Amino acid sequence: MTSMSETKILLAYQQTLIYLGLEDISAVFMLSGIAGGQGANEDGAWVEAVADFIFSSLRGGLIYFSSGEEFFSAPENFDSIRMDYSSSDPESKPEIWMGVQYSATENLIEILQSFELLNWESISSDLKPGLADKISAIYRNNSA
Amino acid sequence: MPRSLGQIKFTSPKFETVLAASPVLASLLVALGYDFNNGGFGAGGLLPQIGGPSVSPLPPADLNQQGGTSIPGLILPSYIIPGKKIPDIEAVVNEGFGAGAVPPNSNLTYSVPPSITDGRGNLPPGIGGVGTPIPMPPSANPNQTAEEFAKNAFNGQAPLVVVPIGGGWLAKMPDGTAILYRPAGQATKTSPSTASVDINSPSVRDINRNEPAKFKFPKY
Repeated sequence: MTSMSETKILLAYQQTLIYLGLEDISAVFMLSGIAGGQGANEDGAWVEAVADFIFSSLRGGLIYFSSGEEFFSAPENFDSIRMDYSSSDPESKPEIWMGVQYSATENLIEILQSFELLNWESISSDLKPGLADKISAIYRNNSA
Repeated sequence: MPRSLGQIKFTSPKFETVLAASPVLASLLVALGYDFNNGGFGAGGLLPQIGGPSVSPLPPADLNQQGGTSIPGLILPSYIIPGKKIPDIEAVVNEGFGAGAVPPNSNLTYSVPPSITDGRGNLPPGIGGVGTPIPMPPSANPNQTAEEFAKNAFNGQAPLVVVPIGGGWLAKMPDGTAILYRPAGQATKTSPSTASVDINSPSVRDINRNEPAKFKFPKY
């Protein structure tokens, strides 16, 4: 059974993964429902959440960068990418926070399709328990 | 020193192209006294009367210094900040990082540019509701339409930094706003003829479900 905060995080993950399945996006479009989103928190909780999400999603084979990877200090190293994000923010490093674009892999597209979530209407839907289990397992195995 | 519209010259090749395609605009400018041979407003036109007594034209460098927007008698769009000249973005990109920069101005408070709203302070509707990509009207040249839209969203400021990105650019404004223009052919999930503009600022996020705004510009 998942706690309320876990549910909130998984829902934010679900929304961002759906967005990635439909559109190339940069980091500033991710997890706006966590820690108040960009600019809302002073302790960097949202920045850390996005850094973790990108790291785990890249490692889990759910997303790839479709452009802008030249702005990373070491684009082939996921740990380094995570560090590039967690040590910055959208205002200090707009190149990586807005310039690097991510897209869904075929694997993520298939997962979203299997839950009938590959459409814009689903972005505001409730958390799908089956998807929550699936992405929980993926992120558990690929977290920092 | 009082100045009038008599000092204005249109020298951009793009502007001349627009005039060639728009006889009505060209006729209007002639009626107002614009001299196409000399590229400026002559003394016999209507415009010098609007701005008060006619004066000697200022050299281009002086116009740049003045910002070219604080002209007596001319009503400016509300998003233009007098004294801040919006540079030619292509020139800024070509010159490299930091070119065209102005000192950060902590007094600037970003407001949502009127050019990106529906006229009532709201963003146009997103494809899946508020906070999702906003489809813009199709045009013959999505790149040009999107880039002009992005420049208008500067909201009267000059960018601190413009970073070239894959045929497009990312502009960072003095108030912290970031504007990304991506020409057609960059996206993997949308039509290869669709250009896009992302705008990220607190004011935009406030009216967009805490998300930056993403505008999509399709081709006819």
